[in-house]
Amino acid sequence: DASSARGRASERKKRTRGGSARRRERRQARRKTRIRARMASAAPASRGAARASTAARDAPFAAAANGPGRFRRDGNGRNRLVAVRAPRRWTTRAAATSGDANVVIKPKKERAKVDPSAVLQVPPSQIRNFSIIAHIDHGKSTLADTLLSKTKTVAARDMEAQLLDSMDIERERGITIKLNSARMNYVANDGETYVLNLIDTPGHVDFSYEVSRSLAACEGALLVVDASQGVEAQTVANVYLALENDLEIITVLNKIDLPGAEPERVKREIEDVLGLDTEDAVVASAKANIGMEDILENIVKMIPPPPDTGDEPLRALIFDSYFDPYRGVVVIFRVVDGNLGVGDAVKFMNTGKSYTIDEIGIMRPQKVPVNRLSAGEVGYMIANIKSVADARVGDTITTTKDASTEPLPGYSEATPMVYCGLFPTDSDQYEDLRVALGKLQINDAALRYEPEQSSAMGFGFRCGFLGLLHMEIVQERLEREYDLGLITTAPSVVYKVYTSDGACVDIANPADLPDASVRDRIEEPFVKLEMFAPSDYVGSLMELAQQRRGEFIDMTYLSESRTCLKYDIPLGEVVTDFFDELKSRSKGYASMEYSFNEYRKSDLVRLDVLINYEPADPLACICHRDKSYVMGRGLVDKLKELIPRQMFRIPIQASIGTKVIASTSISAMRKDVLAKCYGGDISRKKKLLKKQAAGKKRMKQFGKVEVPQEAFMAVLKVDQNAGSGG
Amino acid sequence: DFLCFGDIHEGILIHCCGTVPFIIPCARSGASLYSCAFYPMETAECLLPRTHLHRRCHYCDFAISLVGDDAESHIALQGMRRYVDFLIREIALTPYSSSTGDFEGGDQPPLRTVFFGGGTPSLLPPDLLGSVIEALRERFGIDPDAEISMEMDPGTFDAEKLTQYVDLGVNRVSLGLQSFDADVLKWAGRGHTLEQSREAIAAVRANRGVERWSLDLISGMPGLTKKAWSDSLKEAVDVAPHHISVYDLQIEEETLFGTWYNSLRFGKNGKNTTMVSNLNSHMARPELPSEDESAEMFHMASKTLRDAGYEHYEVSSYAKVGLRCAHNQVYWTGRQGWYGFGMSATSFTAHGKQFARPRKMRDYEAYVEAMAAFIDEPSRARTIKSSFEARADALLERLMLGLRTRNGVDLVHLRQDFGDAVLAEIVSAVRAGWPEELVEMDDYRLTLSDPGGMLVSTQLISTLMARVSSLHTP
Repeated sequence: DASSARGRASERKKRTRGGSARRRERRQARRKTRIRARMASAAPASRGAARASTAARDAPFAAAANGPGRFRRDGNGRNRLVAVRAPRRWTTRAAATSGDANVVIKPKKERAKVDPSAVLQVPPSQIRNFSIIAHIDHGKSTLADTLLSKTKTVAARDMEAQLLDSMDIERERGITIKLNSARMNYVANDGETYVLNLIDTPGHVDFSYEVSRSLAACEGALLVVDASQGVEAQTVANVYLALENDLEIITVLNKIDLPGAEPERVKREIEDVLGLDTEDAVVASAKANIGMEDILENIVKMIPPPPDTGDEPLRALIFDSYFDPYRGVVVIFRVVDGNLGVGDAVKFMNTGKSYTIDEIGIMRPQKVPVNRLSAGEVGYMIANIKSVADARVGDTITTTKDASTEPLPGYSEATPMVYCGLFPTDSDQYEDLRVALGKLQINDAALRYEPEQSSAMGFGFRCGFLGLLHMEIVQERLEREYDLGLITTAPSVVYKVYTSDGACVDIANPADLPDASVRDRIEEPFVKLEMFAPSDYVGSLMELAQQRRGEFIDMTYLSESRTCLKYDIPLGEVVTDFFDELKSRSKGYASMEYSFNEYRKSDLVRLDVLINYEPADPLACICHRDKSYVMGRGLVDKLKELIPRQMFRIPIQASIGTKVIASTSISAMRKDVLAKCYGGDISRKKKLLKKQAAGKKRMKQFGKVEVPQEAFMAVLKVDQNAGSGG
Repeated sequence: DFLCFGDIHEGILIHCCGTVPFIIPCARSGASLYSCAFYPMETAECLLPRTHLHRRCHYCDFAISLVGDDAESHIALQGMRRYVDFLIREIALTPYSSSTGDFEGGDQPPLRTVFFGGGTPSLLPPDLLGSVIEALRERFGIDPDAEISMEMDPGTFDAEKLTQYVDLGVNRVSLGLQSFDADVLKWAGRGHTLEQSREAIAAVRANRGVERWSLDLISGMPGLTKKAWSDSLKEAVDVAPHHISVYDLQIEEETLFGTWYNSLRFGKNGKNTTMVSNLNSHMARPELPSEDESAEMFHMASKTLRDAGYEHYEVSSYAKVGLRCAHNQVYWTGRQGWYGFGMSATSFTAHGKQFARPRKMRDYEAYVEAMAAFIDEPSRARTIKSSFEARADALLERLMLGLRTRNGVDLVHLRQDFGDAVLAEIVSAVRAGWPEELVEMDDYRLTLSDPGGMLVSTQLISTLMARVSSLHTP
């Protein structure tokens, strides 16, 4: 009569823990008030702002991990796959490497054998759902590894460093992109066995919507802060997200074993900046295995158990989904209310699609099938779903019968923030590109694309991304996995253009901008930008923000030596080389974070580029009138560097409308001749010519002029520091 | 085509050349070397026999072997002899059939031109040269009027040796002078002095058996000024050779010049400068003329030599009317074939069939052994191509070689050989992509202008290649 015994045990527990729970609630309430006040001052209407940022979830940390400039391309590796939505599951890596839509999903004739004793069943009161939030490099992945081995979830022999970051791109960039979850059993000091569900979060605010949904699936979070570095921009953003979701936060000062660790200073920063109580902060080192027990005990003691709502109509929150070529979409979810099991007919409330569950189970972290999951538990589900777009993160699963009436809050559609044109280098590859994008989209609900055509570039696609990182990853996958040669045009944000007849159009391609005569006004997206940096660099960072049309909001000292700067700044200025510039001006010490704020009217113009007197649409950009001269000058100079000399003189001009604001020219090539070419040389010279011709073939043709690939990103490389004067 | 008997399949040229394994070479004149049908090629080491230094010309990259300090030493002679033995075996084993398509023995036409080059053939003792010529005559026959050319470097021969060569049949000499400026010669690592150059010229001019002779100059050499170049050109005109080759210096990787100058040219940031300068700090490293300056030198040569009655009949070649190098014409018309013998030599016997021999002595020996074993050419030397590729290749060659010459590409032949569609494609690509002033085109001929078009010929041809789809494999 095990279940009634368990029931009694939990009853007893509730009684004994009643007092401490009440104390905790009081403490929490107090803390929250403080924090709310702080957030209100920092970001008016914090809740709304945070939601907006969720919707925006753009790219600061695209850059944060690795700016475009430092993006390592792996020359040898087609097998070094890069994936946003591609699964990184411990047990399905081989299958996971492709987003191949052509694979037929076999209907499962037999259900997976379920071993009822394989998974320990506990009542909700003994479940703890938590995630780990941290700034990049503060040790999140190592901590997760250590917890897994500490709870013996993963056998020592299977353990490898940074288990959670096993995906290639994550290793390459040292970041976590893809979330993951793992169920651990932990015998606490009180003698009870608890089930701990660790829900990993992507370390990137390109994916902040996904982060917020993961956090919504938890009751608590471990805030990991590097004890030598202190609070960084991403820490703050993540803490706000966690507080939005009413999570209990356990502060962990990591890397305490490092000689530079300053736990007291960092505690002060946490209290001052984040308003969190550091009384209970755990001083730890995941690498040296210090403080791990304290963390586990704190998880059990401080994080509230999920409410016991197993009898209510089913509501489960999808916080991740990925496409497995053999099984179809695997949906990862947290059961909020009710329960579900194999064979149940379920419905996704936002997309309205219905499915029958083929398999259900938990992640440990490999998949272990079970018969039922109920309120509070975290697991996966396979139901013959064909595309991840049908199982969108944030959607609510309910049963077809006795459906819940109210979906879980917080669902939002993916809204691309950055657009760019993708064209095949070789026009014959257009069809291949179309197929490849289709396949990627099956596993990446946020990717948007539509056909685009230009006389110079031929046929291609205008693609929308969550942010720069997302964009780079998609490009990288297309090049590595599908072997496509691509030309990318400079990224552009989405402008709202109001025409004189009152209509509003979204413009994501500068070439589509309506003529000045029919425009009433243009609005551009503004973001709230926070930069954290040692005080020494404040001057130079302020200069940077000002050059990029930032509006100063606030500056606070975190400590004597560290400062937080807040700006309102156009997103279009951030999706350039902003992050690289930030890092180089601060010698790598600054961090930044931003979230979408609002659309604002700006005096914007389209800067056209003419090569040999012919307009080059893919090089056009939208910029502020005050900066147009600097941009135009910089752009023509950059193009002069990037376009090789040809057999004739090539004038290059930048213009606004018909007015030329900057011009330069590339002089004609004087000499390119092979002196000798006799019998034995002929095949050698032929090779040389073929190589040169292949290079030319990769270039795009503007009239008679051949323009190399790099030129299309020229606008990003313009040195804006020269003479802009803010 | 004066070189060719009958149709393409029968056109046979031979050139043979001998050079030798450990021997020879010196590729001191970039010029003369390349012209060797047999030998030409990349990395070369050259040795300057008279200087007692193991040095190579700083721009040379042919497949050659060092002779050593003394070309007449026992070891050097032995090496040359061994090489010539293999050469003779190769010649003897070469079948007509594989070189000339379907030609079946019988009345094969004899060779119309023979060219010894690719190294420094003038280091070869006359008796060895004689045995090579004898082998050719025996295997293929040599036309009594054949042009038999030989590359000769000043300082490696005297009047007596020249007479011996002439007695063996050599009737055209190509002198690898390179410059009439003593400093430039020194900087280029040439093994001869200006005096030796002048002695050599005198010897060649004095020899009545030399029916025609040619002189090589290189422009764009380090340290070469426009003044010095103009003087060199004048002196060249004064000594009145029948033919003058003017090469624009090419900096090849893996040559000393490559090490010196490529980093400067391409590494604008000067990354490699320190390394390079440490490496060669003991050597004078004069400045390379700028692109504009060397373009100017090309213009100067074109003007001076044309004014002196020379015809600029190919990018790097000038000749008095009717005295073009018969041998080179074979390469450039692209409608004839040739034999090549010797290390790293290439033969071309019909459309799409090109054979390149191994570039290392040991491999070359093995290649000849294999020929002996199989009689037929060993299969690994055979380039098998699909018909499409072969056609695209032949077309490329036709354009690449034809556009280098004053005769240009014969559009009528082009249409006969490749069809109307190809012709139309080329004509429209030329109209769309090439500036008018660089090209001359009518219904019969496509020619690059002299000197503007010729100076950028590589650009023009590669533009054509990028835009004419018949020129690349799908």
